[in-house]
Amino acid sequence: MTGPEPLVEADLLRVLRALRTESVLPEPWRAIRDERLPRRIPGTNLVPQSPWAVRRPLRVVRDASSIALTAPGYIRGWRRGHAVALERRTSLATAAVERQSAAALRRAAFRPAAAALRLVVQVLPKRERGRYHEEFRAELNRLHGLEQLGYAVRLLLSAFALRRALRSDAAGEE
Amino acid sequence: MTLPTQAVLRTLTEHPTREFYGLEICAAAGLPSGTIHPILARLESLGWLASRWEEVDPQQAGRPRRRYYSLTTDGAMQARRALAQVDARAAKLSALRPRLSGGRA
Repeated sequence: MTGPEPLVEADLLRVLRALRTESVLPEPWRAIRDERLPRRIPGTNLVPQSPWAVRRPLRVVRDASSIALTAPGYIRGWRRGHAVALERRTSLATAAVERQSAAALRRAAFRPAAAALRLVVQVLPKRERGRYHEEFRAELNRLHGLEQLGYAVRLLLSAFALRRALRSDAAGEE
Repeated sequence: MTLPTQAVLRTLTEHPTREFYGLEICAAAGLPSGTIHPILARLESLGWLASRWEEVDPQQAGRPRRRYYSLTTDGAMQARRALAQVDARAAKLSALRPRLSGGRA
């Protein structure tokens, strides 16, 4: 035994078209355009299952005594937050100033130190100048700020001892 | 032998195979930077130290080449002997000190 033949898609479409021609069914675009959705107003036309539908809105109570109870805590918290923010802002500003001054110091210290190096090298025997200039510059490059100045001053102080050592070396070779 | 020279030699003999550049020697020996070049030059002229340039391209590294120093084989022996003599002399002096100061009757 065979049942009724299932409707194929083409048959369904044909039936729908016929119904629309007879205005039994609206055109799909007309259904969307003409039948507007209800306007949503928050808190008024709630769906029945919404938890807000059964809850009554809270009434604002301004009780001076209850405010007085919580106000000190609020004010203390606000002050603490304000102090922390201020502290953070100050520390950031200080760090920025320190960074800038360190960079300025580094720049300021490098020039006199480099000049002192050139002076030291002039004291040394001619054939050793190139070597020691590069060696000193490499070491100076490794130092920062006031360390560079200290290094240059100590080199200046030991320049003649270095010259003596290099001259004795040259004399020994001759 | 001066104390800074002893300090430099002690540092180098502790690591006889390692190469140091000037600032490293200063830091390891506890000497201020920029004071050891006369010592290094003297030791190099004696043949106790050998030096060489660091093998980097200054342009690429963005800094000048460093000069590395290390003890020669002969230098290591001589340095150990010299330091032993210094230590022996210091031990003798410290043994004498209590007698000189009246520590012993």
